[in-house]
Amino acid sequence: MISHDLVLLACRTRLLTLSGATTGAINAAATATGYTRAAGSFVADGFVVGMEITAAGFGTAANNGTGLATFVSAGVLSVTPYTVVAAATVAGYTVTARTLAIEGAAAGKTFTVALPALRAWENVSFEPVAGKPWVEEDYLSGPVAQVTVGPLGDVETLPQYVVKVYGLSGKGALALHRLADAVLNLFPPRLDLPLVGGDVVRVRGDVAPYKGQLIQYAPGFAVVPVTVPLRVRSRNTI
Amino acid sequence: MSFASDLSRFSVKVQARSQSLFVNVAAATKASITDGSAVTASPGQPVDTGFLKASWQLTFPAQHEALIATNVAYAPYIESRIRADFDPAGVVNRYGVKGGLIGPAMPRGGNRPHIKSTVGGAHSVRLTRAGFSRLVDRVNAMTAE
Repeated sequence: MISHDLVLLACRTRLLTLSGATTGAINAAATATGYTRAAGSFVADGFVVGMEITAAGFGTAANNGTGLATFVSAGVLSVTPYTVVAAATVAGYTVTARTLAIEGAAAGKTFTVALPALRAWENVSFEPVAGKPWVEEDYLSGPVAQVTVGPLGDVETLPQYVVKVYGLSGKGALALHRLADAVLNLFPPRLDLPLVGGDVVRVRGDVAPYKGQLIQYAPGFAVVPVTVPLRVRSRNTI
Repeated sequence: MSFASDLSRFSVKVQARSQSLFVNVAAATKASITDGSAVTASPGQPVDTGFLKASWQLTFPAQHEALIATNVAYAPYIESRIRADFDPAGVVNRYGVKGGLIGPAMPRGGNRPHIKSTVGGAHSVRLTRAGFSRLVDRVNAMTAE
């Protein structure tokens, strides 16, 4: 029989590699309200208002880290910067505002959109923070059936991994749908996720991963659920 | 008895069996969503007032088409276990939406949504969809018996 905890951890590990948008290494500067670039385009790189962006490569530490994109054009990425730190509290995290420092343009800066820093993992205490995107996971163990006959026959389990992407309401649908699409791209049909112990969980193709409707979560948040149907076959030990 | 009449009887039998299977699968699918199912592992709808569970309807818009739907505004929140309070009575709330969100913006003192029911749960449609082929197999086996 499979270990559901291993399936959940395999899915979560995969989810943590999420990439919604990236500039690669570019020449960029920091201003008091965000970042600028002279070449290339933040828009063409996939950035939109409402995304949580992560800046890296700046000499001033305060210019590195997460922030909410409030304005995006080809050469300007305005953000509301904040720092998220995991904490052993009911909220699960502490979020503090950060102030950007003016820093001249230089090469080697990167901007990425990854999995939001605020994450509500299964059965871990968490409270959403107003104005900050977050994600939540649900793991459904699913039905089990022995699908080949006799002793040591194959047992097929159909778990599902559900990722709910929460973004800010009133900021349009693009940020949420792009992140949800990135989740779908991360779990394509027939993807194999090896488990410790030799079992393999496979993303189903007959019921392939799908995205739900954007719905409002009052107040201030909207959410798009993404469902990843899985299939695991293991040997019945009886 | 001719071969042609045998074929004709067989055809009628297959059509009747197909229709029976179709109707029974549709009914079993709705039952999986509303009442839960060991085949799909769906928990069924949670019940506080019964408003949501009773709202699910099975209709047949065309000969080979079944529609299982609810028009309750908070159904997607229950299905996806979205963290929000909802009005189980389906009355008009402060946002002016019948059966929509009410109460505090975010439930405090915990990280689970307010599902008061001790029966049923979330993700019933999701689990039914994922286990649909098994549901069809099960209904087919029962129809054949």
